[in-house]
Amino acid sequence: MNKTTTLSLSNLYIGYTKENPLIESINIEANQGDLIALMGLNGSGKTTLFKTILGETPSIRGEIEVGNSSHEIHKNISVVFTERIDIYGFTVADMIAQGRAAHTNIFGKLTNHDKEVIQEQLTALSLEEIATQQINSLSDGQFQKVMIARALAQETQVLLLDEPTAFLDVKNKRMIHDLLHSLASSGNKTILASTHDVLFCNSYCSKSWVIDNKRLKEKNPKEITELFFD
Amino acid sequence: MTLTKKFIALLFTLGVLSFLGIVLGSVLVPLDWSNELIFKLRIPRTLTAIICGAGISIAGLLMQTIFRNPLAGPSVLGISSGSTLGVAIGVFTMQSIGVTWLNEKFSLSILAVLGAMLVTAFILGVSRFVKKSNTLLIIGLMMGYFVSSVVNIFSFYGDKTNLQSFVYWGLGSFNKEIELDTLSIYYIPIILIIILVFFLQKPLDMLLMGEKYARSLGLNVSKIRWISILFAGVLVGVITALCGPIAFLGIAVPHLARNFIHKSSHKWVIPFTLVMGSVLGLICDIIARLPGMDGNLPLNAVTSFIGAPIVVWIVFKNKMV
Repeated sequence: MNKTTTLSLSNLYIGYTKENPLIESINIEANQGDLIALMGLNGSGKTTLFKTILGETPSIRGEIEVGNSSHEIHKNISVVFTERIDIYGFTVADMIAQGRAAHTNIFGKLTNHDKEVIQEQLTALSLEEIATQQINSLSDGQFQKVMIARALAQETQVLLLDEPTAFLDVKNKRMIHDLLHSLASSGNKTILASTHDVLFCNSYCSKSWVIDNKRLKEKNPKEITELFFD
Repeated sequence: MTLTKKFIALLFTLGVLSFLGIVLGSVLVPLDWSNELIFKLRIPRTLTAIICGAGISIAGLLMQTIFRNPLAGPSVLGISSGSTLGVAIGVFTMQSIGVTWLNEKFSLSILAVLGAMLVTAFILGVSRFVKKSNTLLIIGLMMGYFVSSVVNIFSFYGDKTNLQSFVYWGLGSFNKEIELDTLSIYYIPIILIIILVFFLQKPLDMLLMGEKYARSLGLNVSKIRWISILFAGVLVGVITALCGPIAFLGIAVPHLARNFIHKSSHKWVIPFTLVMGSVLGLICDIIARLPGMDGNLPLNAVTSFIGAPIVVWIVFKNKMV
C-alpha cells in the first residue's frame, strides 16, 4: 500500500462456498479522498463484500488491508446501513455520541475530546439546531444524515455506506449525495457507497467499482452506461 | 425536573414506602426496634420487596434490550415458567427420593436458575432465525404454555402436601418468614448481578442500535447476549425460587423508567429501573397486605392488576395494534 491507499483488496475471493464464490480474484485499491460507487445487480455480492471487509463474513481467500497500523476494524472502518432503526429516548447528539463507543472507556464516558468531536460533527453537518431532538421524530433524510455524522464521529479513515439513499426522496438523495461529495473532496476520508443510482455514480463519485460476471472492476461512466442500459 | 432531581424524588419515595412497609400490615406496628415483629417479619419482607422488585425489573430490562423487543420480559417469554418447572421438578421429585421441601431451598434455587436459563437460551437461539418480534413473542408464549403443562403433569402426580406448598408458592409473595441470615443467600447473588449490570451499560446501549451497528463498533455481540442471558436467568431464577413467579413487574418497570426520564441510554435506565422496581415492588407488597385487615392477597394478583394495564398502554403507545 502506498501512503494514500486506505483500502486494498488483493487476490480476494468472497462468498459462502469455495466452489462457487460470489466475486473472484478482486485486486483493487481505494485512496484517501475517493468517493466510490459500488454498483452491481441485486445478489451480485455488494453486501457480502461489505460484510467481508467488516470482518463479519470470512473471505474465501486473499487479503484485505485497511488503514495503517491498527488491526481493530472498528477503528478503521465505520458503516451506515440502509434501514432506519427505531430507538425511543435517543437525541441526535446521543446518537452521534454512539460513534465514540469505539474510543470510550467501559462505562462509555465521554471525554472532553469526545465531546469536541461530537460538536464538530454537529456543526459540520448543520445538525446543531436539531441536536436535542429525538431521533424518532426526524425525517428519513435527516435520520440518514445523523447516521453519517455518527459514522464520522467514529473517526475512521474508511466509511462504508450500504445503499444510503435507497429509501429517500429526490431532494433528500441530493442532500446526502452532496454531503458525501464534500466529505470525500475535503480529502480526509475514503467513502465506498453501494448504490443502484447511475446518476450519483456519474455525477458525484470519483471512481466506480462494478460487480459484473463475478468480477469487481473499476469502470468509467461510459462503460457503466453501456453495462446497465444496453 | 432534571434527571438528578427525578432520581432524588424516587429515592425519597422509596424511603417513605420502606417506612410504610415496616409499619403497615394487618397490625399497625410502631417503629420500635425492640419489637420482634419488625425484625423477624416486616424488615425481611420489606427488604425482599426492594431487592426482588429491583432484580426482576433489571432482568426485564436486560431482556428487552437483547431481544430489542418492548414486550420481552420474564413472564411473557416463558422464563418464569422455566424457573417454575425447575422448582416443580425439585418439589415433586426430591420428596420421592426423601428430600423435603423446606430444607432444600438452596438446591431449588439452582434448579429454578437452570430452568430460567434453559428457556432464555432456547428463546435466544430461536430469535436468531426469527426476524419478526411478534413471531418470537408467540413462540415465547407457547414455550410458557408448554412448560406450564409439564408443571401441571408433575403437580397431578405429586404428593398433596407438596402440591399445596407448590401452589401457595406459585401465588407469589415477598413475605417468606425466613431469617435475614438465610435470606441473604438469595440477596447476595441478586445484588451482585445488579452491580455487574452497571458494567454492561455501554454494550447494552450499542445493542439498542441493532446487532449490525453494534458489531461495526467493535462489540462482541454474542458474548454480550450470553452474559445478559446468564444474568437475567440467575436473577429470574433466584427471585422466582424465593418469591414465586412474579408477573408483569419485569416487563412493566423498564417502560415506566424510560417514559419517566424520556431516555433509553442504560446509563440512566439502569438506575431508574432499579429504584422504580423497588418502589413498585413495595407498593404491590403493601397493597397485598391489605393494611388494617387480616390476611394477604397473593402478590401476583396485585402485580398483574397493576402491571397488565401498563403493558396494554405500552402496546397502544408503541402502535403495536
